[in-house]
Amino acid sequence: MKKQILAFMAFALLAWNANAQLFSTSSAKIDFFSKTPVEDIEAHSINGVAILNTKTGDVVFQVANTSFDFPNKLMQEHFNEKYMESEKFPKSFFKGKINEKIDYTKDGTHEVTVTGNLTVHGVDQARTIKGKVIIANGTIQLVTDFMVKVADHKIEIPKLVLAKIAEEINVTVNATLTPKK
Amino acid sequence: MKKLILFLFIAAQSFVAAAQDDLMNMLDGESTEKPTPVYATFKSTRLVNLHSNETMKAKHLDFRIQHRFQPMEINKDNVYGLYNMFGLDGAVMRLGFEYGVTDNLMVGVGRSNVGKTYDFMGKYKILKQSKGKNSMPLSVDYFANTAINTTEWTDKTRKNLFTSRLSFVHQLIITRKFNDKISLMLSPTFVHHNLVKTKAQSNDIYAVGVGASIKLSRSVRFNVEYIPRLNNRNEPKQSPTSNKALYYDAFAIGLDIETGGHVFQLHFTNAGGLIEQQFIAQNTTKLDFASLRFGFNLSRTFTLEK
Repeated sequence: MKKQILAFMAFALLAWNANAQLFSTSSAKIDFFSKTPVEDIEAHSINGVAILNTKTGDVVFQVANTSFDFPNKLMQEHFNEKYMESEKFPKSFFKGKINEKIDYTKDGTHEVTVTGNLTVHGVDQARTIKGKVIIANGTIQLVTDFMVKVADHKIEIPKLVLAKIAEEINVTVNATLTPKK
Repeated sequence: MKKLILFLFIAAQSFVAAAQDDLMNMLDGESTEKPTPVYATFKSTRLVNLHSNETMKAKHLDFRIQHRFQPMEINKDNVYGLYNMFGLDGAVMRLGFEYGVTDNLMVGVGRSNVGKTYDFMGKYKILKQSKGKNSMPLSVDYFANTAINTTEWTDKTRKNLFTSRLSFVHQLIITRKFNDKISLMLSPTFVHHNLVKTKAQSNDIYAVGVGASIKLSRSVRFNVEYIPRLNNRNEPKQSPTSNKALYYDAFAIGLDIETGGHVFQLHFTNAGGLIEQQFIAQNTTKLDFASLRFGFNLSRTFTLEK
């Protein structure tokens, strides 16, 4: 009986532990830029969601495509209606693991690589992405900057606007995670 | 007992192993539960003749050219079809500037060559369709305009009032985007002319516009609309020998073709006017195949922000 109680407590502790090592945010900044000689296009979202498991290094990101704000609203509509098909694929996400072992309890900056799956427009791409982990005052900041090839995710661009939209889109992410309650 | 501990241990392990998927499941809980707005119910602020629920977004300006040629007159008895190049020899048109004051309010001015008419319009989004929790099933807009006919008075010796030149429209635009492909529209409309041609005509005309739009591809939509009038349908013609109606219901069928900042709307319609006063209440073109006109709307959007 005693052992049973012990085991239960051990399990409970494990479960509790699992919760304590989660960091999250629902206001990650995700921006993207398309640069061509004809036109520069940029869009910003401040509604990215991210969760990091500091024990395992597992990290997930998600952003609603409709949350991207374009200065030109017509472009925003076309982004959702014609290119991302947000009706069919409402969200873009990344599911991966930080390869380096980091002590998340100590303040500091770490260069890391993250390996995982990037899903945009319903198409998965295995990616290894470089980034930075900045730990300060009990918060964890994740910063990254990477390129996404439009063709990799089967996003078709009509010939007429081919000159205006870059083949590779620069995506930047800046998320400050706090312990998940 | 050991088995139980082992089981618990394995359970705990598997909990860790499934961590990425668990994290994915948690994501939805993290994101704030707000209903997401439904966008692009229609491609443009007009379906064909009728206004759609779309408005210009804040600080965006739409320069719009609406153009209707003359009836094509394609029929066996009439040789004028080809003689008039199927209507291309003449046209009615309106030039307009329409501006988004906020994301919900659009105001505009226009001038059409039918009755040398200036019009001032406003369209406000009352309800916006959305998806998700506590979502809104419909979009509802209120549209209103005032038009000033500036043709010279036919009888200058008579006492003519400025108010006789005015006419007004009030319209509710009820729309729903059913899915990625199909959007429908219902527009109860009230048109008031301060002055009408004959005593038999009513100053007030009630009508209900119905419209549908089908997405054919990412850049092309197919539209159809019909605007039956509810009252004063059989006003006698001024000539006593004619018992035909003076005005006819407007019908239109067309395509939207969108290329970046431009929307081209190409269509066939029997309506010979560009504003509601003209094409709903006082459309003089019959609804039959020979009377259809080719027409287009050309919209160019400018972003004034930044």
